[in-house]
Amino acid sequence: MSQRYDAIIIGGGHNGLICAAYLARAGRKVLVLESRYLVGGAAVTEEINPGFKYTVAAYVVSLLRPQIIADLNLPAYGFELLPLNGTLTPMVNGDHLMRWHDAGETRLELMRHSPADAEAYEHFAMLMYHLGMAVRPMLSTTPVDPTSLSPAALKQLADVGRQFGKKADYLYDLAKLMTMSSGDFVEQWFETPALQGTLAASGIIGTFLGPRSPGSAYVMLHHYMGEIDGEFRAWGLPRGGMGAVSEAIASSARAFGAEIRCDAPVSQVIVQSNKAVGVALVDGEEIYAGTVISSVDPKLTFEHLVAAEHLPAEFRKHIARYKIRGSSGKVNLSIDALPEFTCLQHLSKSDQIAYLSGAMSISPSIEYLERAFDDAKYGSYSRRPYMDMVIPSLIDPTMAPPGKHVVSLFCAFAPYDLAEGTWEDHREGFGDAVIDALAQFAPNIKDIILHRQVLTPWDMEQQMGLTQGNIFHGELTLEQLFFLRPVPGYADFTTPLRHMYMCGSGCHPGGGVMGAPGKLAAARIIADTR
Amino acid sequence: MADYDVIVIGGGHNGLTAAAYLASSGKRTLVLEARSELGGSLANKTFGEHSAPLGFATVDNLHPSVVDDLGLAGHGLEMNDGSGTLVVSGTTEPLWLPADDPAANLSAEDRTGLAEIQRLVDLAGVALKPILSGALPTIEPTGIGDLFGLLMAGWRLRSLGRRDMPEIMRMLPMTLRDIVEEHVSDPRLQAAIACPAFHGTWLGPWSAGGGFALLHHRPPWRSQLLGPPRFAKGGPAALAAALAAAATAKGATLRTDARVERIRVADNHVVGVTLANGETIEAADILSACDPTTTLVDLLQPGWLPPETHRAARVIRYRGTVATARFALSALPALPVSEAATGRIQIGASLVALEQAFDPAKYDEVPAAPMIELTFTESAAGPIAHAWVQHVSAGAAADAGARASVLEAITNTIETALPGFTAQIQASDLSTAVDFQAELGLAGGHLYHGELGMDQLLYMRPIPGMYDHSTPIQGLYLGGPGSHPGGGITGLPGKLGAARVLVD
Repeated sequence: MSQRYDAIIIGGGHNGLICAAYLARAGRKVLVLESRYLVGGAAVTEEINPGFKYTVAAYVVSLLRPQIIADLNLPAYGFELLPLNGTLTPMVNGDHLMRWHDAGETRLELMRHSPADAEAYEHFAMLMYHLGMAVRPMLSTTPVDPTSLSPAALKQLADVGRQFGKKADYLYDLAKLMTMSSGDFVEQWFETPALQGTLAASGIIGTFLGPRSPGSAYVMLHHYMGEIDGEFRAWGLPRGGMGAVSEAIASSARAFGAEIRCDAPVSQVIVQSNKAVGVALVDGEEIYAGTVISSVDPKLTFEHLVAAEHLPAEFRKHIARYKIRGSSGKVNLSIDALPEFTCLQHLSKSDQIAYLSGAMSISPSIEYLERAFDDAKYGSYSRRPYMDMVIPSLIDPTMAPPGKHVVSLFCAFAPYDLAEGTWEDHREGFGDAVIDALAQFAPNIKDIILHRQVLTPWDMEQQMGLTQGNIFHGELTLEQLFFLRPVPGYADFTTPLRHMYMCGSGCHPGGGVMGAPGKLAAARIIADTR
Repeated sequence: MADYDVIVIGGGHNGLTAAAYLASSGKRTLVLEARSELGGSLANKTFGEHSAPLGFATVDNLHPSVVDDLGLAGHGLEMNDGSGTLVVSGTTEPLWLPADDPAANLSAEDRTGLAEIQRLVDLAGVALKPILSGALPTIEPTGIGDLFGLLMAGWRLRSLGRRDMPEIMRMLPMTLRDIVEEHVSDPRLQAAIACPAFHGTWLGPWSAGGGFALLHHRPPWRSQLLGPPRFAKGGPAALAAALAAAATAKGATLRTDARVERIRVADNHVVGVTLANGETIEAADILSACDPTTTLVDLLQPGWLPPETHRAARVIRYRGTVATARFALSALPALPVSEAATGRIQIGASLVALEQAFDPAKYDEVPAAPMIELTFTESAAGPIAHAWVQHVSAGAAADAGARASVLEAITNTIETALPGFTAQIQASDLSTAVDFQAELGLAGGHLYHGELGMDQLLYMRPIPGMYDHSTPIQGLYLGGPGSHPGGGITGLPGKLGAARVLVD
C-alpha cells in the first residue's frame, strides 16, 4: 500500500484545486490527481500555436467568489483580473450597440437607439442587482432538502422562507426569472432587437435551451451574478489567460501543503464494503486515502470511475437521466491584425480599440439566437452561430507576439450528438460557419487568420473529460438545480458511498469559474471528518 | 340603490358560470355580452349553410362541481366520451388508443412507462388538487387561518415522501420531450401524451415547463393521460346554453348586444359600466370574464390602476397560436380505424413533428405541417370536420394570402394523413388568432386569456400577486380564464371569481 492521504481529489480543474486548497488550509493531507499535463481542466492557457497563448476553453472570470480570492490569497500567486470595457453588439443594419462598463456611457449609447430602453435599462439593472443579491446567499450555502424531516433541515427551510419573506418585493420577479424564457423576459423590458438579443444570449450559455424556452431566464441570472472585487456584473480576463487562475489556485493549494500530480489519470475509485478507500490510476498504481473526492462531472464519476455494483439502482437511474448535453464549442484564433468591424469603421483607430477591448457579442436579435438553436435541436451545428468574442491580447499584450493578437470565440450551438456524421467530419465545417458568421460583421477576419483551433463538444470530452462537452458539468435547468443538483438526495456533496464526495460544477450551485462547489464541498468534508 | 348587485362582463362560459353562482346566492346579477349570442369561444360559427364550433370542439376538463352545483344536466347538458384517439401521420402506422383501454395497442415496456408517468401526474394532482381547482392560499398571511392554509399546501407536497416529492418537483419544469422519452419509446405514443399540453401555451416539446402544462391539461379531475375527448351533445354551444339556462333560472338577467365600453370607478370603487351605446348601468360589484388586459387596461379609465399593476397587465403574454378550421364534407373520409369517427384524430405522430410544427410560429411563418386534432360531427347536410390546429401565430395569418396558405397547409396535412379527405370537402372555413381577437375581443386572439406558461400560472396569474380574483379597484373582480386556475373549458375561474365576490 502506497502513501496514505487524508483526501484524494480526482481532477485538477478549478473546483478540485479550490477544494484541495481549503482542505489543505484546514490541515488535511491532500493529493490532487490530474490526468493532463497541466492543471486547470477547462480553465487553461495553452500555446497551441507557438507564440500565441489561447485560453483554450473557459475564457472569462466573473463568478469567482471574492471570499475564495481572499481566503486563498490568490493575488499573491499572480491572480489579477483585467476588466473588460463592456459588450459590443454589432447590428445587422451596420450600426452597433455598446453597453459600456460605465453606466452613464451606456445610457447615452442606449438613448441613441431608444430613449425608452435607456430609461428601462436603469430599472432593469437595478432589478437584476437586487435579484442577484437575493440569490447570492444561496451560492454560499448547501441547498436545503425540502424532503428532509431533520430538525436542522426544517430550521434551514424556515430560514429560507423568512429570508424571502423579507425580500417579498422581489419574490415575484425572482419567480418570473426562474420560470420564464430569457427572450420573453427581456422583451417585457426593451424594444431594441440588438439589446434584446445581447441580454437574452446569456440565458443560453451552457444549457441546451433556446432563448424562447422557459428556464433560460434563470441561466441569465446565473451569469448576472458575476462580480469583480465586489463589483456586481462585471466580467474580466485574468492576466495570463484562464490558466493563470488555475495556476494561482494550485500555487495557493501547494503553499497550504497540498500535493498536485499531473499526468496521473484515475481509472477507478477503490471501494471496500460500501466505503471509498482510494483510487487506482490508469498505470495500475493504487493510492489510498481517508476520503475520495471527485471534481469531475457526475456522469463521468458514477458511470466510469465507480463500478456500478457499488451504487444503488435508484441512484444509477438518476445519474443516467442527468442531463449533460453539450451545446457549445470554442474557436481560438491567431490573427495578424485586428478585426475591422463594419459598425466601427467610422471611428478612429484608438476609439475602435476601446470598443474591441470588451466582449463582442454576435447576437443581433432573439430570433437570430433562436434560429441558431433550431439547427442544434435537430442535430446540426448552427449555420449562423451565436458568439461571444474577446481579444485577450488587447487587454493582456503578453498573450501574443507584438502587433499580433489572439481571439477567443465562444460559440453556440454545437450539439454533442450530431444527426449525421461525426464531429471529426464536421469540426472544420463548424469552424467555417463561425468564421462566416463573424465575417458578416467583420469582413476582414478571413484574411487575417494565421491559425485556427476548433474545439467541439466532442473534443472537450476527449481532451478535458467533460462528458458530452457540457461546460457546466450538467445543464442549468430548474430540475437540476438547488436540492435536485446533481440528483435528488445528494445535493449536499455526499454520494451513496461512505467517504466519497463530489466537488465539481455538477454540484450546487453549478458551473462557471465560480469555485463555490469546491469551497462548499471542502467545508462539508472538513465538518464530516473533524 | 344600484341597478344590480353584480354586473358580469362577458357571456362566455366563465361569465355565465359566475353569474349562475352569484344569482343562486341571491345576488341581482346582470350579464353583459358584446356579441349577439352567448358562449364566447364555445359559440358556433356559420359558414355558408353550415355551422360548427368557432373555438373549442370538446369540453374535456369541465369541472364536475360546476356541473353538479348548477344542475346543468337539468338544463339540458348531456356529455359523452369519444371512442378514443387515433394518432396518424402520412408516414407512420396509425396508433389507436381506444377509450376503454388506451394502452391496449402499446408494447409492454411502453405500458409500464406510461403507467409511471401517469403515477407521477396523479401524485402531483393529488398534492396540488386544492390549488388546481380551488382558491390559492394567501402567501401574505394576515391571520392564523391563512398561515394554516399555506402550511397545509406545503405539507401535502411533502407528504409525497422523500422519493416522490423530488420526482414531481423535478418533472414540472422539464421539457415534455425529456419527460416522455425517459419512460416510453414509441414516437406516436410520445406525441399522444404530449399533444394536449401545448393547448394555450407557446411551447414545443423541446421547451422547458412542459410538465406544468401537462398537469394543467390533465388535471386531477380528469387526469388520464390518453383519455378520450369529451363531447357535449349538440356541441360546446350546448354547454353555453345550459349555463345560460341555469343562470336565468337562478334569476340572472342576460343581455346580448351590450358591449361594455368603460368600467366606471369613483373613489377607487366601481360604480357601474357605460355601454357602447352610451347607456349607463350601476352595480355594487363588477366581475369581468374578459381577458385581464382588456379589463384592466382597456375598460378602466387610465390612472385608476397603480402604475406597476398597469405595466404588469400590459405585458401579459397572449401569443395566440390556435387556429380552427371547419370543413363541411359530403362523406367521411376512409379512416384507418373506423371507430375513430366518434373520437379524436391527432395528426402529428412524433415529438419531432410537433416541434417542427411549433418552429414556424416563433417567426410568424406558416407551418408546413401543423399539429391538428380532428373531430367529426353529423349535421343534416352531412358530416362536419372540426380541426383544432397548433401552432399558427397571428402574424402568420395577417392577410388574405397568408390565410389561404394556412388553410391550404391544414388541408394538405389532413390529406396526407387521411387520403381522400380533400375530395369530400364541400365548404371550408378558417379562424385564426386574428379572428378570435376581432370576433371575441380576446387580447392576442388567445383562447385561454393568456399563455399557460409557468410564469403566468398560480400566484402569477394573471399578474404576480393578483391571484385571488380581486383587483386593486374595490368591487372589481376577475372571473375569466386569465385568472386562476387558468384557461380551458373548466368553469373554475368563473366559479372562484364568484366565490371571491361573495366572500367580500
